[in-house]
Amino acid sequence: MSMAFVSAVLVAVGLYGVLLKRNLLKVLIGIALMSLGVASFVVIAGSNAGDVDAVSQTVGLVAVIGGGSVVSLMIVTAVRLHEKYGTLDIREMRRLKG
Amino acid sequence: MDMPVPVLLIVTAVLGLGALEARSMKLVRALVAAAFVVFAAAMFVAGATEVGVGVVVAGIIVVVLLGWGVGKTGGTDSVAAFASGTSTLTGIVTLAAFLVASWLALRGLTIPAGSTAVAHSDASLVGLLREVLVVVAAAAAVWAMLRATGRRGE
Repeated sequence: MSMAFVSAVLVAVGLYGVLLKRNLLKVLIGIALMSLGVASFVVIAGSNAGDVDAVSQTVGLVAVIGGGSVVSLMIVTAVRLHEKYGTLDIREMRRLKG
Repeated sequence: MDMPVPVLLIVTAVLGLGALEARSMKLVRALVAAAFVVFAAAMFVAGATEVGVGVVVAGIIVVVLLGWGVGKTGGTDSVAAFASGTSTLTGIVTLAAFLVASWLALRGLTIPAGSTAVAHSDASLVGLLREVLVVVAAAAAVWAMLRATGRRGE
């Protein structure tokens, strides 16, 4: 099985959560999975016979930490939105705008 | 690269899918934590120690915050999984097209097994890929936030 395909599967699972889930926390989990998929591909792209390039490791680290930071901030935002709207359903939040 | 790495990545994807489909939010948190642990193990096996440590740190923060969020918002996911109508079908078709297109685009960017050195052109391709993926990830995040707050129509 192609390593690139495995990374694409991981990103696709995350994209599935972003596109098709209505619970905001699950949308954020999807974004976290996408960042893991991106990091795995960067590592795979820079690896050669078990030796991973230092630049790839750095870029992968940035992807993981950046994704984790964004998701952490958005989890706090989701909780605040739940306090305001009383739901985590993104469609209900859109209906209650203004 | 060792054979267990793709297996561990597939396990991560399965755990993530389970987290997206579970109804109990406590189970969701446990599955997300397991996905981070398995992914970190995959990175350590692959030889990317720095990334593995980063995944452990980011995973701890995300899982702790997720537990706090679950405690604040309720223990079960009461939101319907799928939207009715053609939007779900469109989403599934989009996912399938994304999977095929990304595999076709990415498979040429990996280093062939047995190569003795990494050429500079490969490094620039990795950099370009990084920028593209960062833009796509940022656009997905912005789109998700706009979808959540209902300002897309403004």
